[in-house]
Amino acid sequence: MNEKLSSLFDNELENHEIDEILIQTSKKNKKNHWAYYQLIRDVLQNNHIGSEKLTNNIISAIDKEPTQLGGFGRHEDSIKVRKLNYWPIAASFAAFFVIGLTALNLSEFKSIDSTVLAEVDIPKDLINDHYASTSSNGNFFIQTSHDESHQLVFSDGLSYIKYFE
Amino acid sequence: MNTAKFLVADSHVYNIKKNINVEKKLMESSSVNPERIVDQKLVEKSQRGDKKAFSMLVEKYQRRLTRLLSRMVRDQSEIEDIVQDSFIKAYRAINNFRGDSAFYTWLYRIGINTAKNHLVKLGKRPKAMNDIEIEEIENFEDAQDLRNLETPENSMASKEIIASVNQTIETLPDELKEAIQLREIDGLSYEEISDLMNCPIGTVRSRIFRAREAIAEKLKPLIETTNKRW
Repeated sequence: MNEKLSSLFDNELENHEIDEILIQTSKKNKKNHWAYYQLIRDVLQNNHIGSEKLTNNIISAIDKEPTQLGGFGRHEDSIKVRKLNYWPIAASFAAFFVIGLTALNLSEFKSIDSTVLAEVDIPKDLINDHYASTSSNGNFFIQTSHDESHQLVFSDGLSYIKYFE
Repeated sequence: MNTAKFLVADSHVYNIKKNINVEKKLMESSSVNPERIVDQKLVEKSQRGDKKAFSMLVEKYQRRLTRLLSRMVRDQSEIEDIVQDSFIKAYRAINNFRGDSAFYTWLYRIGINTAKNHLVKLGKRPKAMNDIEIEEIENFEDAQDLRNLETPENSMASKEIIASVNQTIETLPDELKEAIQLREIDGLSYEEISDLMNCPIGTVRSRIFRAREAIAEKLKPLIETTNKRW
């Protein structure tokens, strides 16, 4: 890593390499020699001045400052952060949609499940005929409905009987 | 249908051409001032909350700013306070930095304004500085006058560091010594050094790195005694 850092220090890296090395240097536990490289340059260029403690005092002071976020940096990371901020809103809308849909379906089921008692008296003979024509393991419920010619229709899924009112 | 296909293909070619032009422009600008690109990337990382990136800018520009402000303020401890304040102000305002100018130009302006305010507070009349004067200070060759302002303690530490760097360079193998000197003293690029030393750029890169590491290892104990944070 330090060889690349040394090249970065000399501005001799390609754009993609700069990003790569800066990601590595950002890792908090990783120590690097950037400060030493600068010190060596300053000494060799006869620009060494001031106390070495000053750099550390400044960095300590910056560490105590609240972290700055935002700015004008146009990087994919910041776009990702902004995109992530929309997730809670989208999730809320999705939750409302699901709850609404469920409520609507429940009300439909309710209307289907509700039992409508036949308001006509079904003749006993007809019921006996129906049971006689139905197999022993058949369903014993009778559904009623009106067909196109307004005739009362009994069906249990297996047999089909029309009752003429 | 065929026309639609043709239009789609045409816009695709147009986008590729556009991207190539943007890349070309970036490459042209990077060849003009690659230092500014590295600084800009460090600034952008600082703007996203990376304090370590800002620390790298502090390590890079602290001495240069100290040197600049030493021309305005003569007291060493006052200079250090102003330099520290300037970096804190720069950090607090980092989100306002748009990259229209180089980072160091922006930092220097903050430094000069901080120094001016400091002098006004003390009832002293600050010396007006224009762009030319700032440039003159930047190119000021002899740091000896400025070192005379240092406290005896700082001066001693400074002399030890300078001696250690120079002694270590003398002990380096010739190819490492030549590479680091061509880079740091003559300011040549890797390509120019590779032409001069008649070796590949990768070898130049490696030689400079090894020279730096050797010097850094010698400096470590010296710096650690004065400051445990290094």
